[in-house]
Amino acid sequence: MKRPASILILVSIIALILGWGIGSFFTQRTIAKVIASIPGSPIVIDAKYDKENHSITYSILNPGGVPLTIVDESFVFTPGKNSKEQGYIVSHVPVHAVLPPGVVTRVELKLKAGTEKLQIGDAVLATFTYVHPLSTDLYTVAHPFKMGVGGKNVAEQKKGNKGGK
Amino acid sequence: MQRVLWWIAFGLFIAVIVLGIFLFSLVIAAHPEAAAFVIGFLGFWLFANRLIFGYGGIANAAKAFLDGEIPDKSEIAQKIAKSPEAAQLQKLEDLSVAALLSLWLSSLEPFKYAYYLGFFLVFLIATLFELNIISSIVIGPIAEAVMLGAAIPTLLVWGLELLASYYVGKAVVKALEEMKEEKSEAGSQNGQQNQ
Repeated sequence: MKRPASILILVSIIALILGWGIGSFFTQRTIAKVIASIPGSPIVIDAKYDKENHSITYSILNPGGVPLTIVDESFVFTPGKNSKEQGYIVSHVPVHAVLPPGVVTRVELKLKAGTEKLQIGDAVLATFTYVHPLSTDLYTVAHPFKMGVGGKNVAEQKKGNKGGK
Repeated sequence: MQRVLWWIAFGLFIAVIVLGIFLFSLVIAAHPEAAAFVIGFLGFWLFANRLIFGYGGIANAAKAFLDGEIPDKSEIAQKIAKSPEAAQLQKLEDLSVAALLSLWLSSLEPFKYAYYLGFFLVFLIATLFELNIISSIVIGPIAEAVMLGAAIPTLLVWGLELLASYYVGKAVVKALEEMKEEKSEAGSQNGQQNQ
């Protein structure tokens, strides 16, 4: 085998790499814990109108590390040219939808019962009020939705606004 | 008097253990990875202890032999045999120093393989979690921390093993050369006597 000096150098190099690995492991775990304690603001990535249930299903991503809870839904219905329905506002429908961290959750918004099905050009501005466990404040996210053209339910590409801070 | 002292020492011992468990459980609650790291380090050091001091002792004795000192044969024989009596019975002290050292080195072999097997299993589990073959947010980092803690004594064992086998190899070569010289000297003396 080699000389003792070369054995010692070899062991020292591996010890340095090992120490580096241990240090970066604990640094990474600390950072991961910090990130996991930061609440994010939900992003509505998709909205689809369900004709049979007369409801809109929103896909909401929670990009933060703590679960968010939607406690309240409000929406404003604005008729388009094709609709015979009058405009109306439904506010403060209590819900309890938990958005787990890092995943997309589907949240259903029921439109007013007894009203007509959505026509092309109709707009629904939905406002979700949510809370997170770190404070007692209420936050909102608003998402404008417009029935698409060609019979397809195309969601507006506009992102929901962040709530007040 | 002795009894009282004994009871005081016993009470202190229990208090230290209880305090230690209390502090350790606080650490586990706050930083489970750090606790797993300490457990991996201490647990593997427990098994590596014999190897670390064994290989360290072999390397020291072989180095001393190479430098011309004659190590105490009975001490080395006690390391190999189960007891001093067994060492006497096996006539280990009749062997040369280099032979005793290589015997000592090979007597640590089973411990070394058991130790490396244990480390390999821990390493394997940590790798499975690291590569997400098995995934768990809770157990994954803990398995990795245990592996990292265990890696420190393993590195020491490995380095000392390399060092010990290097020095024993040198010592064996030196002993063989000495043996050859003795033989040739004896042969020439015999030849002179015959003439």
